[in-house]
Amino acid sequence: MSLAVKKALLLYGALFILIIGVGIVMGAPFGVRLMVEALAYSLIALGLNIQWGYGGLFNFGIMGFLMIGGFAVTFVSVPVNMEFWNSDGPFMLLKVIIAAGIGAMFIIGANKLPKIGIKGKAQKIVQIMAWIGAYILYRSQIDPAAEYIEKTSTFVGGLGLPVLLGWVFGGVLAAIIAYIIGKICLGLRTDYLAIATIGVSEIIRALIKNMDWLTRGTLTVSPIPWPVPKPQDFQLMGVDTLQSFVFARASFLIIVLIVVLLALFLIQRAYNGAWGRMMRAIRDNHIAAGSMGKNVKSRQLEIFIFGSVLIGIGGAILTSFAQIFDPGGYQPINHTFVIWVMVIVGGAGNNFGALFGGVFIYIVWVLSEPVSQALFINISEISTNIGWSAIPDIESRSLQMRVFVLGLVITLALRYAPRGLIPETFHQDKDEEITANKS
Amino acid sequence: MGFMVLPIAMFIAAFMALGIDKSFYAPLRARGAKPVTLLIASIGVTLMIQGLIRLFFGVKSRTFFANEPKEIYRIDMSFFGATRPITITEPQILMIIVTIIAVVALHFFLTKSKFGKAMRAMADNADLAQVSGINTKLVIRVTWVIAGSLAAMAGTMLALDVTLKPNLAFNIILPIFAAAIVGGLGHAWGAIAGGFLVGFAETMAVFNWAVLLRPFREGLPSWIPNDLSIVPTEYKLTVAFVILVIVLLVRPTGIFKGASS
Repeated sequence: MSLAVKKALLLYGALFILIIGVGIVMGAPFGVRLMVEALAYSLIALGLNIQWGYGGLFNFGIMGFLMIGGFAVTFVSVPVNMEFWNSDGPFMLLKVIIAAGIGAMFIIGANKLPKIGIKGKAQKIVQIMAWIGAYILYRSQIDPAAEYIEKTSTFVGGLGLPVLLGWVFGGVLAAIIAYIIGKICLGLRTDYLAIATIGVSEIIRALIKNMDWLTRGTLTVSPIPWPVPKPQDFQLMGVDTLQSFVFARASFLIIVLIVVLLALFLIQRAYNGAWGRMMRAIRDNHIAAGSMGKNVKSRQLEIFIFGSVLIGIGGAILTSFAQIFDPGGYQPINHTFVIWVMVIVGGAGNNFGALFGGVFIYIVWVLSEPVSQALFINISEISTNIGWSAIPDIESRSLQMRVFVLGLVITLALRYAPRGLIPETFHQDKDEEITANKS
Repeated sequence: MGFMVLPIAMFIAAFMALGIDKSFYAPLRARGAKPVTLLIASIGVTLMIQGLIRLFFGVKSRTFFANEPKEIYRIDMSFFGATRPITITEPQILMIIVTIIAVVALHFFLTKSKFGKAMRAMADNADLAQVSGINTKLVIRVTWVIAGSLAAMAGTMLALDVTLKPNLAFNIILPIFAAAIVGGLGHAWGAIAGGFLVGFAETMAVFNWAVLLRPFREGLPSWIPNDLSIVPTEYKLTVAFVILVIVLLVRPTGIFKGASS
C-alpha cells in the first residue's frame, strides 16, 4: 500500500468519524439529510472533476446545468395539469414548435448558402436576416401562448412519470444543452471559456426564471415527488414522526448512494482505461495530442457532455430531495463556486478526491452556521461577563459566516495543498522512474 | 458628504490591497501558480471580505443621503424638440467628472511615466522586465495601490448613485466583465466604450419601439402589437451576456482588437 493510498484512507476514516459525530450532535434526521445532500453535491463534483480534472475545461456555469437538471425532474415527475391539457394551450404550443422549426430551417438554410454559390458578405447578411426572421416568427407565437397558458392554467404542469426517469431526463437535457454550448464555446481559450460559461449559465437562469408558463418561475413548484416513500407515508404506516424522517431520508440516501457509486465505478474504469489516458494527454498538451492524431475538439466536447450529465443528474437529485423547484434560489456562489471549492480542496483529477471534497466541503459549508453561532454565543457571554456589551443579532450574523468560511477554506487550500487533499496520482512505468531519477 | 471622505477611503483600500496581496497572492505567485489558480483565489478573497463586511456591518443597505437631500438637475431639452427634460443627479455629475479625471490620469500614467511603462513591460514579460533592471516587487506594490484606490473610488461613486450594500459589487461584476471584454482587454479606452455599448444595448433592447409609432397609430394596420420591445423587460440583464457570448465567438479580442494576453 502506497503512502498516497494510506493518506486517502485516513482522510476517509476521519470524514466517517466526522459524519457520525455530526449525526450524534445534531440528531439523526439532520445527519441523514446532510448526507443525502452532500452525496448529491459530490456527484456534481465528480462531474466537474471530469471536465476540469480530466479535460482541463474551465466550466464556470455549473449553476445553469443544475437548474436544467432541477427543471427536468420537475417537468417529468410533477402530476399532470389537466387544466392545461383541456385548454387550447397544447395547440398553441404546437404552433410555437412549428414556428421554431420553420425559423430553424431559415437559419440552417442560410448556413448552407455557399453550396448554391452565395458567399462572403452576401451570405453574412442573409444569415443575420434569417436569425432576425426566425426570432420574430418565434416571438409572434410564443408571446400569446405564454400569456394564455399563464392566465388559464398557470403553467404546463408535469408528466406525472416516475422520479428516477426525471433524473435520467435531467442528465439527457443537460447533455443536449452541453452539446450546444460545447459546439459554440469550446474553441475558446481557458479564461474566455470560463467567462462564456458564466454568461451562458446566467442566460439559462434568466430563461428558467422568467418562462413562467413552463417552469412557474419564481412562484416555485412544489411538492415534487420522491422515488421512495416520504416521511408522511411512513407516518401513515404508524411510525412516529422522528423515526419516519430517518426512514424516508435513509431510503432516499440508499438510492443516491447507488447512483454515486455507479457513476464512480464507471468513470474510474474510464479513467484507468485508454480513454482516460487520452483525455489526460489532451489536457496536459493538446498540441502534442493533436499531432498524434487525436481529434482534440471532439474529445473535449465529449468530456464536456459527460461531465454535464453528472451535473444535471446531481441537480435533479437536489431538487427532488428538496421537494421544491425555486428558480429564484439559485446563486452563483452556492451553486457554482462551492463545487469548484469541493473539487480543488478534494483534489482535481482524482475521483476519490472529488468525492471526498464534495462530502467534506458540503458538511463544512452547512455546519459553519451553527458552529459560528455557538462560538458567537460563547464569546458574547465572555464579553458580557467582563463588562462589555453582548454581540447583537447573533443569528443573522452567523448565517453570513458561511461565505467567509468558504473563502477561507479555498484560499488556505490553494496555499497549503494546491493539488488537493487527495491529489491526482501519476502512474509511471518502471523505466520512466529510473530515467527520472537519473536526470 | 460621502464624497469628502473619498481620499481617506482610497488610502485605506490601497493599504488593504497591499496587505491582501502580501498574505494571499504573493505566496501563490512565488510558487508560480497558474492564472486560473489566482483567479479562484481572488474569488475566495472576495468571499472572505464580503463575509467580514456582512459580519460586522450587517446586510442592510445604507445611503449617503439620509440627512441631506440629493440634488436633482433637470436640463430643459424642448429647444431640440424633445418633450421631456434630461434628469441628472448630483452624484451622477460627480461620477462623470471623476471618471474622466481618473481615465485621463491613468492613461498618461501608463503611457508616459516610468512606472507606467515598467508596469506594462511586466504585464508583457515579467522575467524580461526583471532582467532589464525593473524593480518588479515595487511595481507590483504600486499596481496594488492604484488598483485598491481606484476600486474604492468606483465603489464610493456607485454607492453615492444607488445605495450601499454588501453585494453591491457582486451584482455588477459580470456586466463589468462583459463590458471589458466587449471593449477589448488591455485597451485603455476599450472598457469605457464597451461599457457604453453594453449599457445602451440593454436599454435599447427593452425599449418599447411602438412608442415611436404612436403619432401614426390611426393609419397603421391593427395587427401591429402595442409592445414592440426587442426582448421582454425581465431579460434586460441577459442582453449583456448575449452580447458577451457573441463577441467572444465572433471577435474574441473585443471590438477594438485589444491585446489578447
